[in-house]
Amino acid sequence: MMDYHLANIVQAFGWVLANPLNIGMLILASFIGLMAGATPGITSVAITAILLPFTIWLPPETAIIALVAAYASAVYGGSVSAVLFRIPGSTENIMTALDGYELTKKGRSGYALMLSRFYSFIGGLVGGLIVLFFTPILADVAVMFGPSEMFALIVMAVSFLATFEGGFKAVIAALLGFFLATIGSDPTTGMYRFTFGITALGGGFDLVAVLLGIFAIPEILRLLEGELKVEVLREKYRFVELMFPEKSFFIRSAPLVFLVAIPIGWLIGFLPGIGASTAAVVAYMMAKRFSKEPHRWGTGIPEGVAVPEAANNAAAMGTLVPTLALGIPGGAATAIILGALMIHGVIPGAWIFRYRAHLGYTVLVGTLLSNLIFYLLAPAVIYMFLRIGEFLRRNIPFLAVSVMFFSVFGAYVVRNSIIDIVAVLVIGVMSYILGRYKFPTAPIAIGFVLGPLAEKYFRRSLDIAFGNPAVFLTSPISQFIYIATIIMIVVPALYTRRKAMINKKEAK
Amino acid sequence: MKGEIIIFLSLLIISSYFLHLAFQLPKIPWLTIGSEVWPSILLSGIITTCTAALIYRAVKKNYYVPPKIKREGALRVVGTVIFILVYAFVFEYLGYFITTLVLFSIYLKFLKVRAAISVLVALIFALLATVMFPVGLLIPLPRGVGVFYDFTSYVLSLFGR
Repeated sequence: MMDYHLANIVQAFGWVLANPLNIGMLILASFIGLMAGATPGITSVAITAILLPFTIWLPPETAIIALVAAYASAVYGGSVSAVLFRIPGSTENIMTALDGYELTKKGRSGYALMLSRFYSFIGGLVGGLIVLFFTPILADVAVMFGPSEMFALIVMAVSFLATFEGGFKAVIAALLGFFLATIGSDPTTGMYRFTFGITALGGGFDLVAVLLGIFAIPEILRLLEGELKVEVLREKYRFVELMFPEKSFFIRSAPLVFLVAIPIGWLIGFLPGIGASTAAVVAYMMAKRFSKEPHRWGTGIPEGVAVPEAANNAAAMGTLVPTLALGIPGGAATAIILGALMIHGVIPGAWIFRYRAHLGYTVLVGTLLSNLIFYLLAPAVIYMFLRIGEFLRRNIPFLAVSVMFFSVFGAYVVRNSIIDIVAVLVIGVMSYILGRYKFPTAPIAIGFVLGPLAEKYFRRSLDIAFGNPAVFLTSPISQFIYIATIIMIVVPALYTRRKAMINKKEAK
Repeated sequence: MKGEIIIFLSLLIISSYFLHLAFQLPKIPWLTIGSEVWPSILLSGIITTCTAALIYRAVKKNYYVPPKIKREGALRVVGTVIFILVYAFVFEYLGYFITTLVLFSIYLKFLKVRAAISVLVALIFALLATVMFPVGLLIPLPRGVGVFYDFTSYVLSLFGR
């Protein structure tokens, strides 16, 4: 079995590289994905959907390679606007905005963008290699995760939110995010909840509008509080500095990236229905827990960019496993890719690697190569956005209108609804006021992203168990996740307390 | 009253109101878990946490007071909020092109940018919206009503749309 698998992988490199159409589409789709991802308001899912009709005329393997390349590049591209303007291009980049933007404020945006690019590439490469070699084998593991196990995973992510600065405030912010996600029609019954008779609210708040409201509007209001002309030094970098991180940082961050971010990102990515956003959140929180300086996370620490970017790109690769091997999409973008497969008359499933090996393996190899392509294309996009960012940060009025432009249009174009512009404003003002009183606002976004998943798995688990809440604790996988969560929260807390006591004694 | 206390109290009252609304949601007898269960859990969580935070603050007498904003800065913040609100209301009536051109010019002027530059920047943004959405990504934007519709359609026709 393994020999057959390896032989096909080697052959697939030939199939991809020998076909100029495959290479051409890889480059084109990666560039479009990068530009779209870096443009605030156009998410990785949106660009994958926009490109879908254009891929219909392509051969199936080229079409899927192009869509995956666009998706992976857009996931990385989203970090560009997250770092420069604190507007996550996609939900996958929420955590990158925290430390990335802080680095920008310190005049190190080029460095932050280099980190996001390098670690996106590493995450995608390692994630892609695992997909390449283990997809047919690991598909069976994915189906072991039922609703209660998925719910346990979300509980784990939420538990770590309490580690955000702010204590009570972080918990309230996360719960607010979860609650905002319940507004609209109930996914199970279709019943409208808290819509006050506004039909446009039936579909709930749109994710793009909520993200823009939480991140973009408060930031611009904060900037407008101060001076309109700000002195921003022109960042100067040697070419090599924009290519790789320094050796000392690479070695220092390696345990967090290779042992925490990529495995967690990939693992969560390959679980059906969870997606790369959750992966970035869990990886960030876990890495913060394991870090020697957890208090510095969120203040512009380079690891704060490296970890979520490695995790979300590893997850983006991981989502392909259930999509290709089981026919179950790992997230919204992979649902579109699944649709593309079906448009081309391909029924996904484990047999794809046996009976349509040319297609299955070409897609896997193309996916891996897409990481290399966006890594090579990114410097041009980075340079362009870096200079635009510098100019805008120097001239606050222009920055304000730019953010306003992308907030208004970004929110509107998703559903062509004015209610989304109003939502941006309302959530923006709310986040601004909460932010002034030191409520961390990122947990609102995280809660909003995880909310629908949490409700779905919570209700599904209870439905299966006829309402018996013991269902959440009976599965060994759930038990393991809960115990791991408790250990990871309690042990570092006890360690910090002990350290504080020792310091106090020494001071005496 | 301290601002922090007002926020906790507001959240407490709003959450209690929504909890009341959640309990009013129609019950479906054959459903194990109704539509109200999940929001009720979340709202109860907010109420409990806000109450705990209020008690903690009252006992410790420890309140966070944010730094004061200068009058000019506060005016800019309020002006921006009003600007977005107006933008949202006139967007579909005037069409995206005229709304962007006119309101962005006024907004930039409000932020003390020279009039000619304000109009130029607003025009660039209006054109960028055209090139990006209706022309590039084939995403329709509102053209407005009456004469505004005709004008936006004319602009789009220049781009072959």
